[in-house]
Amino acid sequence: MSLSGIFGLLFVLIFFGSLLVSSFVFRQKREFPWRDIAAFKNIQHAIGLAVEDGTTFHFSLGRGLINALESAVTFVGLRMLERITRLIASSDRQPLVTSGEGAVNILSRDTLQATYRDLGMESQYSPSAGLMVGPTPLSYAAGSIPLLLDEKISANVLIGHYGSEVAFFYEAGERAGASTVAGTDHLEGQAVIYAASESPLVGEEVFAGGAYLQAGLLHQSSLQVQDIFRWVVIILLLGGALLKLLNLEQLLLALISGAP
Amino acid sequence: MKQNFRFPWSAVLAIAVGFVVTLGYFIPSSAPVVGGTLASLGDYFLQVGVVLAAVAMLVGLINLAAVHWTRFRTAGENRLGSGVVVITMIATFLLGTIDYFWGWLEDPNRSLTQYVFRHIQLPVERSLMALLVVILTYMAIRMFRRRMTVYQAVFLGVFMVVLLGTGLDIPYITDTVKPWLSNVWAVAGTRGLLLGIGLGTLASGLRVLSGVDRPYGG
Repeated sequence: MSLSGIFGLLFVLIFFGSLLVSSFVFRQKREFPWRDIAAFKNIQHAIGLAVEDGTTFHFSLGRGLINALESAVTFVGLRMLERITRLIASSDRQPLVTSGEGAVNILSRDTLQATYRDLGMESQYSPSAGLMVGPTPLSYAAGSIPLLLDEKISANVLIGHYGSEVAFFYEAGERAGASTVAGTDHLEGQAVIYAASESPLVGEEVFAGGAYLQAGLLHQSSLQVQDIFRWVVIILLLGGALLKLLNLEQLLLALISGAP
Repeated sequence: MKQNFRFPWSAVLAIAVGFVVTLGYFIPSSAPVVGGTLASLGDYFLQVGVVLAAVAMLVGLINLAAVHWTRFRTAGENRLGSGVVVITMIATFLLGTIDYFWGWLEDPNRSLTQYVFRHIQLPVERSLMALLVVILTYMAIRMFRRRMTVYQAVFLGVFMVVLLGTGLDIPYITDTVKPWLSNVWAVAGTRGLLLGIGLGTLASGLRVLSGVDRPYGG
């Protein structure tokens, strides 16, 4: 196995081990140092509003492919969808879930059905609640706008892979009189969200969605582990830069490879 | 009390396949004993995944057509729009069928679906891109009206400098400040964001791989 392969596998294993240890520690402590993220407060407020008013909650899962890197943020979105569906299940209306990819559409409907089944309310589930709106970024955005205006939504939550087309969702949400919260792993999309919203989800904040909606102990502990590993990676990067500056990297590589 | 216990077959299958593909990624095919098997199994699973994703896209399109057909049949404000979607889907499908049976799919001069793409979809998407520019400009202006934080002020300041430096040939800004912002600060910021996104992706992937998150409903 190559050196980078060994380091990669070790990194993943240590990360996973830390996740387990951290979740065990938090199970004992039952306290978690939360950081205030306005976007998640807005989502909880929107959930309450949708239940009280009996209005529609729109949840968008983006256009990320399920067999690509962006699937991670889609999985976070699906987990958040499950939590939100539980919280608004008492409302008359089920959430409207849109996506721009076929497999994500199937998974979103599966998530809705499994959640309603788990709550003993499967009769409330309708397959038409999960829609694949369009397979390209702009067709997805353009197809979603009339849906948002027709369904009289009160909340517009977007968690998934979006580029600059996320601006259309903000514009449509505003026209529909709905509060919009968005988070993406796409840098261009994040820049647009930062400009469009007073409570943007920037960087890795979108991955904290499950933890903030109480999706489970491992979600909360993974936030802590991410913070620790971020510092580890920063120290490694700075250390690497220092080694290069002092011209010591060749010596270190020789030591690792065992060369004389 | 009788309990309804269902063995989570889908979770077991997903976790097993996930582990094989992950190990196949780290352990090269040249590794002794398991290397070759893991690599070929991982490749096979990925190929099956690609085929299934394509089938899922077809299912998604059928879902899209079914929903718009239902909306078209029931009276609503955007009934006409749904009707147009259904008709154009059917028309494009028919054109694709003609292309296939006439053997025009590979011929850009004869292919009807490519004609539709070039003369309908491309112009419409370009128009939407133009509209997007307007919306983004409007959003940038609206930022001024909101309660301004230090970060938003920095964002707007950098945005204006880069915009002016790109569009106009202003001495010092175009040749020094803009490249410095784009090549040093923007790249450093991007790396910082990507670092966080990478760790978030890893945590999310491990939760799925360990069966804590089961987006497949298992």
